[in-house]
Amino acid sequence: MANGNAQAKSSATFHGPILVLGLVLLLAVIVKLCGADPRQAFEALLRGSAGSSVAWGQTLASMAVLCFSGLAIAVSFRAGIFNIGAEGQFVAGAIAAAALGTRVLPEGVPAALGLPLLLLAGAAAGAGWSMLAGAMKRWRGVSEVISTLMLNLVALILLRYVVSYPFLLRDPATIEGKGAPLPDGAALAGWGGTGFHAGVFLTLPAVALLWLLVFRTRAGLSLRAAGLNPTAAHACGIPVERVRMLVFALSGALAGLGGAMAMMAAGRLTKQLYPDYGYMAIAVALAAGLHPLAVLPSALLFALLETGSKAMERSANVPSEVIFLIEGLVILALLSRGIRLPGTRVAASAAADAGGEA
Amino acid sequence: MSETPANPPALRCQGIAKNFGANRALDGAELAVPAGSIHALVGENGAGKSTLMNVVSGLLAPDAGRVEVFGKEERFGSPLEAVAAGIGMVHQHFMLAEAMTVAENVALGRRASPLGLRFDARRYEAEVERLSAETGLAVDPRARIEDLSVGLRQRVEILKALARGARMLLLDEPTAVLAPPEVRALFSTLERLRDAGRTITIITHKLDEVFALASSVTVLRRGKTVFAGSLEGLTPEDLARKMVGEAREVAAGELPVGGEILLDVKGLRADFSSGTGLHAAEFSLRAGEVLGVAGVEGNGQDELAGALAGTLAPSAGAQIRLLGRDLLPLGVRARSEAGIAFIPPDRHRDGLVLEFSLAENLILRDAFSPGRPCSRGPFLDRARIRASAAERLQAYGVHPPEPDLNAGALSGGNQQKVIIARELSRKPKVILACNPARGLDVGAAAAVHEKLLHAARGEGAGVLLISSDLDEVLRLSDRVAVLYKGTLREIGARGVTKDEVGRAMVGA
Repeated sequence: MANGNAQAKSSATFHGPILVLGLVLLLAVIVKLCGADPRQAFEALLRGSAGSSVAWGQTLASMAVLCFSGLAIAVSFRAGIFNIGAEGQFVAGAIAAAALGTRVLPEGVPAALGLPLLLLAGAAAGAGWSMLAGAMKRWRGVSEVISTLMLNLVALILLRYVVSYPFLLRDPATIEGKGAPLPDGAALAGWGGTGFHAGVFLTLPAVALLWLLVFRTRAGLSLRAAGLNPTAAHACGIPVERVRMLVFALSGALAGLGGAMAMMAAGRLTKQLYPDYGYMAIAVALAAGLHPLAVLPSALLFALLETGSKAMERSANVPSEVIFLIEGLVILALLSRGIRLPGTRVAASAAADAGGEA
Repeated sequence: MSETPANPPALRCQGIAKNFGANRALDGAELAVPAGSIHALVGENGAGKSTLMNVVSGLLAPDAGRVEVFGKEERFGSPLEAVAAGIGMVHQHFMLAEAMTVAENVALGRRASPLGLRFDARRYEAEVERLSAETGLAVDPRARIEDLSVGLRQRVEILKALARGARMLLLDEPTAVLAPPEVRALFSTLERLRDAGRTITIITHKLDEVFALASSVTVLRRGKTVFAGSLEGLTPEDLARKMVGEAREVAAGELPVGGEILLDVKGLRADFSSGTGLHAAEFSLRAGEVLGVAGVEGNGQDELAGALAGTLAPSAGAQIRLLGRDLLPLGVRARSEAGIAFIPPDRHRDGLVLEFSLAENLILRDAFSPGRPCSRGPFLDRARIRASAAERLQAYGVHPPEPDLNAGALSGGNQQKVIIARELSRKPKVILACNPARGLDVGAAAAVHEKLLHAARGEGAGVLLISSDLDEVLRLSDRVAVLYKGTLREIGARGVTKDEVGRAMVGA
């Protein structure tokens, strides 16, 4: 019985301290195996991610991207939807915002209009991209794991396509692979020559609102019930299919908003816009125990690693791919520690059996 | 309990306490099992029987109290230490490796050779054969577990315990999974083992088994031992009273005098890929009455309940009216708002979210309905939810009545009471109750029945009782119908005999 309780709680706790400790240890061992000096590598990592205002700017901008995609993953996993399409929804959001900014809005659009419009366009496009998978699941029974993964590829190819042809979104003045620059009123300028931009502040209300939604509203209760036991939720009158569709939309909107923001901070659409961050967001969400509030520190941690790894590669001669390896190992460790995904009822029902007759 | 020096208890537990968070599972439980006898440990669901057995078998460490095995005080740190002390536990859910043979399972967890490297299958096959001959527990040592029936698997569990030198066997609800002939075989096995000098304790809540098998009994209630002693001179009724605390007779009450027709069903057809479907079911249900639908499971019960509750869509041409209002176009939520309550057949699958707190489970039906008392606008009114949960848990006798506890932490009977509380506290007009007392002990079943009858007699609801337990149907129903191969047939009013209904249940 006590087990059942602990189980339920563990999925809602942030594993920060263990995570940090595990990361440091693993990093030391792996760096050593690479033949480099762990101390030097750590120094490079920290310098590259938090050693200067430029480094912090880059880290916080990455954190914002991971935070939005991480929230997208957390909310859909909570509802029992294994949406691993944050990558594609992010790209869809970036493309839509770029199209609006460079093709529709006039050159002299005021920031008060341009910024919210572009963010909204990104959210809408992300939601739409995600609901494609939602619709395939609802009416054709396609597993969202497959469809969202495939849609990621489609979105990435689409991105390459639109930045390759001048009559689409490519900047005719540059070589292939760059979109046209956004008008000033639609771009998020970096502060004081760093990558930090005003959009980073949006992560705070986003995290708070998601927490409120999931844990303090009727809709959140329905969402969690649909994730943990859809048959019981259905029998109790919760429209599970509709809840799922809304969650697809919400999670796509979050990722798409992040994509629009990242594109606006870059000032234009590029082929390499935070590649693979949509997958890293899965790690961010899992490490946060799918808890919206914990997504923020979790995203910060992964952002530090990510930006620091580039510096580590340059000055300590440790390949930055090492960070991927470490992320993978940490996630495996966390999963085996009993973070349970909704929809996997094995642990819960076993605990209930053990306690049932006691 | 007779405790002459000649007959010292093989197992003695004194003042055992065990808490799971705020839940007091054992609260000074006492148990003394005379050597060489069969002892029964009885109690309602949630009384602490399994917890006590888990303490004795080393799976749980008690918070307080002492355990004596064959006169020696023991503090087990693991099940292995309990095995070494001669205790063999046979769990309700078997712990066997299905892809392996009987002999391999018997060998599992034991060192096969000095270095543990070589596995001598012959040796264990011979051991199983020897034990089989000795105890009469015949089983082929080379058979794979997956090919064996449930009864035979249980034999393997017993053999496994004996092979590890168990002098005392603990069996947790050993008959729950067995067919009647297997039960008889198990009983004679246990008697033979007792005659050979072994001590046996069975956990059960079936009182007829206690009297058929045991010579002494311990009754647990809410973690305390309320009775311990010989069965001589006791009747099953005495024992039931001790288990439950006070006599809880279910009084069926007076026959309702033709209340208004609440539910009117005609031409209800359902056809699904699995199951027999439902063929043009037709019935009406009046206020204040209980209509019992008996039948062997899989004869259309799920279809009938689902079509009425709204979880399944019936075929075209059906008519379901609640007080004249057409329910067909309504979904689950609209039907429940119209006054339909649904106690589903499988509480884990359809009834509860086990990872949710009791308070959250109690508002599941309101989660999508704006304007219900659980919310302020889109937000949950947490103070009110807790207060209303505490009140309802108290009123429906859920133990422990803690709104913040996870539903998965409750015993089966108490989980069922949570569902009853959620469904009946909404003051429904029609209650669909599917096997409402399945798996519950006497006390919990009586409590559930009492609530259902109260809803009908006291509050004028109509109850459609769909159950595979014929006794339950006959005891509660004013009218009895039978579902057989998807056809619903009314057999008669109260007073119809078990024979008549039983024949209809098999299509005769």
